[in-house]
Amino acid sequence: MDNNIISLQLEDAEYLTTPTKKYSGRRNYVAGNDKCVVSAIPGTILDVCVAEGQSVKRGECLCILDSMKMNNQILAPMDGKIKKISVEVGQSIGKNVVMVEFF
Amino acid sequence: MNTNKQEDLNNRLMVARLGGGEEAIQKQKAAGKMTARERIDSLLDAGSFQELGMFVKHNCHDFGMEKKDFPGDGVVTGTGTIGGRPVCIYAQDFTVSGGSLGLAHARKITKIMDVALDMKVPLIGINDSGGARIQEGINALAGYGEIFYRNTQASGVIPQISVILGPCAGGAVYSPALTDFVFTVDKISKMFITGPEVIKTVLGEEIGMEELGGAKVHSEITGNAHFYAESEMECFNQIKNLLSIVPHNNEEAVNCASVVEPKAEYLEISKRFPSDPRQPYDVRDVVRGVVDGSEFLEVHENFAKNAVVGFARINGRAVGIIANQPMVLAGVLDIDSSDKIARFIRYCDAFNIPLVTFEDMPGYLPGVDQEHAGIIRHGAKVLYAYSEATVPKLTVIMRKAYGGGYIAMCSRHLKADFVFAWPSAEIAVMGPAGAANIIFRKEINAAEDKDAVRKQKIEEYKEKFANPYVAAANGYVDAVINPEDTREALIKALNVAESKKVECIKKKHGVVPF
Repeated sequence: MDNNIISLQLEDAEYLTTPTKKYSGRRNYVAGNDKCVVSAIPGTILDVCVAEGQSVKRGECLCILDSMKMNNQILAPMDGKIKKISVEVGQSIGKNVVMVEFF
Repeated sequence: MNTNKQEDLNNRLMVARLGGGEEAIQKQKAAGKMTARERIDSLLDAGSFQELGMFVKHNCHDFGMEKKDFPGDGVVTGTGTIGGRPVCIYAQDFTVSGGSLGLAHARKITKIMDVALDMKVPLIGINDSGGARIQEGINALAGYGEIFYRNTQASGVIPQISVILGPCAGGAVYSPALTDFVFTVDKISKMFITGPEVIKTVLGEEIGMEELGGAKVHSEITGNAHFYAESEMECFNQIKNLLSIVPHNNEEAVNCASVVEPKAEYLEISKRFPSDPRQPYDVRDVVRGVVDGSEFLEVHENFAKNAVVGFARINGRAVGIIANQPMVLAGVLDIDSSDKIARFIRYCDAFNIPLVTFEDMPGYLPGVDQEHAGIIRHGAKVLYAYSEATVPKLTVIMRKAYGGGYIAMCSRHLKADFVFAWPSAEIAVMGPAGAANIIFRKEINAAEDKDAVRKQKIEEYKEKFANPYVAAANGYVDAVINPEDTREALIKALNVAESKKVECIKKKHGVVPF
């Protein structure tokens, strides 16, 4: 048997067992910040359509992210006021980058 | 006959057999790979190969292609035998234009697929191709589509085996993904939808081919591959082994062989089996103590190891074994093991292979990752597959059978034909401590020494419910047997179940939870 024995707590009992690779490599859950609009994919900012301090309605376009042969409109996820814009036109950004932050 | 014409034929054969030529063959070998024809010869019975479509030519006139001659159009197709039984086979020839797939290449493949389906014989596809032949444009795409359609039509009728012996990227991966068994070889197999270069350009993530889609990744992490081998020869032996035990079409009677008793070293099952439900053991040793010759051909051996599935024989008859593996993750059901079990059940059911389930599991794996990745819909596949299966279904409850896991692992309620339990079985709505904490909450909270009362109540619950006799009293367990009598009980059950026939509700098809 594998030497890498762990104790797994299930419901009420502790079990001695070996983990799978995936189980060992799993990441702990981190709650997302719903005030931040984050890039789901890397790309280039083609346009920024709002300004800091501006109030926007849900569904309004915040900026355009050129990626995967598409000018992706990044839409406001909620009604609110823009606290900070962290990207500028022409900037290349990676995945999971905060583009716009709401108050 | 005119000897000139025969000589002409011999010359043509020689050119065709050389594929992409000496230089390309040397390159293939330098990469540690066999040629397409060597692979076919190694896999099939000696001298049994009949090549078909050797002189097929492509019909592309764009980008200078009209001047290019591709022997066999980059794929070798034909018929042969394995263990004396006929099969259809194709092997992409990487030495010819990188094994690229154009319309003529694809049509050779679809033709041999049609033969396999008409003749009801297994289909083996050896993949080693750089992908679509771009010069042929959408005709190359058409070729892939026609292969996918036939893979789907043949599914559940004949065993379809994919062998990945080189690159298999982009759309090409979906033919293997539609087939029953995918075989991979370390450092040779490479499968992915988008390769390392695209991933780097688009996402900025750097990764090598082996780490992205090598044999280890697909057999351990993704589950796309069912078999892993260190060499091409080992891989071919695995295929021969598999084809010796599975029926060659869905109408063939269950595959039988002469009876071999389990090996003596595995016979005393109780000795290897800890009755303390928290102690781990290797469930494969239990299986080996029950099946013929203690021989067990595991499918998905390295993927979701908390469940074990595979083929074996009991009293000469091929069966599909499904078992929880307490040695890994306590044998819980999780997303990957659910997928693994459900898929295996559906394969066995399609090909009339009886199912034997060995159960010892504490429940489902808790975790945000599991819940968010959809353990609900993945877990549902197990319920669906067991409920849908009409082959003989035999269940052996060895130790823990708690809660939803008890229902899922081929319980009486999903129409198991015979359910056996060992004296060590604990069939209960949940683990003893959890149940006692809920049922006796008031008493425990009111007590001065809560821990002592809790302990006592847990013991009470264990005494009363953590056994096979409550389930047996309700008729959910048919017989309580000693571990050493398992083989005999299963043989008797399989004998009775041999003529099992279930009329199904007439429908086009169900909607499987995916």
